[in-house]
Amino acid sequence: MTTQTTAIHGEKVSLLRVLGPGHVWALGVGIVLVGEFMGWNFAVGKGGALAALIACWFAGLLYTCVAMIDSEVTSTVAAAGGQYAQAKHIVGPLMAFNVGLFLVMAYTMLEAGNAITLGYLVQTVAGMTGIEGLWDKPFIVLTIMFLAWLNYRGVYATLTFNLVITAIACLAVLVLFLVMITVNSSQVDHAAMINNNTLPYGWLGVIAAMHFGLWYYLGIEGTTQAAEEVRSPARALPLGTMTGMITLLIAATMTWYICAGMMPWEYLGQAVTPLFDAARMTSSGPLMVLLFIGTIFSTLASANGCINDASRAWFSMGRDRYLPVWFGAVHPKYRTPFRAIVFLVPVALVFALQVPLDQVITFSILSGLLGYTFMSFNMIMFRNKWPLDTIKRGYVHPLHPLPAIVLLLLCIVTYFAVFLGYGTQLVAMMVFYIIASAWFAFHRYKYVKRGDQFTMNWPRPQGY
Amino acid sequence: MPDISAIHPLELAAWVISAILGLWMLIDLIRTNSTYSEDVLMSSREGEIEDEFVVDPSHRR
Repeated sequence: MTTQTTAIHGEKVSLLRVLGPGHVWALGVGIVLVGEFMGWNFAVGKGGALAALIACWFAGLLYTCVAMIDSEVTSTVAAAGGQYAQAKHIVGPLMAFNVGLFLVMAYTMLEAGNAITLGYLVQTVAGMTGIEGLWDKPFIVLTIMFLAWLNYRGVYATLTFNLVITAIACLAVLVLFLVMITVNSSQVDHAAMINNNTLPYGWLGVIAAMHFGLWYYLGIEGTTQAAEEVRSPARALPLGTMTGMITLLIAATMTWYICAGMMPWEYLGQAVTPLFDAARMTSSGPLMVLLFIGTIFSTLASANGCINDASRAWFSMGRDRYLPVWFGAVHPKYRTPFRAIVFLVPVALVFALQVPLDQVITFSILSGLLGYTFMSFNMIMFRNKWPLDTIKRGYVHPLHPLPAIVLLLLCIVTYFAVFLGYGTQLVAMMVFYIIASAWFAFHRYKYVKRGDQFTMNWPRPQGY
Repeated sequence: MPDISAIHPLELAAWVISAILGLWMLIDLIRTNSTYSEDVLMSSREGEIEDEFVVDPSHRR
């Protein structure tokens, strides 16, 4: 029997601590980078190319606040479940349950969106090579099954795979950018593409662009889900998250520069694969191949990271009895939350096969946004209850409480932006979480062992 | 009944590989559940950090 013996309590199995800062970077950037290859450009459709750039900066500011806050709290709450575990310790059980659901929904929807995109890409390439009428559904299913299988078999191989394909996708963006600012610089002309139409829908268009502006960075906060599997949480999590955020800020800026300088905003605002389109406009075979590989790899990396994160959040909630305890099991050989991984496969399949892409993406963005709103309150409460001199932190973010306040303000603006385009989905999502909260408060919470869920060796909070 | 010959070989390959991977996970899950006791499978505890794996001294207990 493959188990380990520790001094803690005899025969036990737990998640394996094998990851380094590179894996954390690959998890965060891997989930997000697909947004640079497709999706961000819908912000151009909402308010024009300059509005998309402004949204890129403000969304970048929002996510920098997220990364700073996350890095400080997670360097202290080193547990799988990320923000769920933070909410449990700092705010309370009902908030934790909701945050756990936000995470699972955001990542599972994003995984479904990536699988749909991959099916579309396979179909498109088949069409370009003369295979007409290929059905996308088998490839959607294959994507989800293969990545679930990889996740089931172990976290080290899963995130090493992510590290390699994410690095190649990043390299593809960098190479395209370098080509466009050197040998092909004549093809980039922002003034001509914007054509005196700087903000076609005014400042309201800028606010509306924030909806898809999140797509540049959505998911970077997923690095915290690796907290129980990194060798050194206090070092690896802040390092991996902050370098990931820097990578994304640079990649987002390069992406905007390339695409907004090569395509009219009217086309760019509805393009499916803008970076690949930019490569096609250069007529360079190697660039086209590189950007196509980058698009495929970024989509795979995103879905892969999403399975990793959603399963950790589900597993943590099961372990604390917030969900049936059956989900809190670890595989004795592969050391993964195998039941959570398998359970979420059909959930992802249903969304990928039955729900349109824009709806899936909007539900993912909304769930993420709810999570970011929580983080701003969470940070204020964390510093109030446990000031800096009471708990040793691996990372202390500067300028508190400014990042929390900026984060909250940007979240409010983005809710308004989502409401402008998808008001019905916003309301439907809120109703879903209210019903789920009622189920937890009136039914499920009686199964929770209240004392057992608080595992951090912290002093009593100030004022309690 | 769907006409199997109308399915493109690439689609068929995707279905077959998906089914194999799905079955592999399902069989392994059932086998693991029956081989190990629930106490062992559920023995993971949040926040337990095994010192020998941890590099950062601030997280040693």
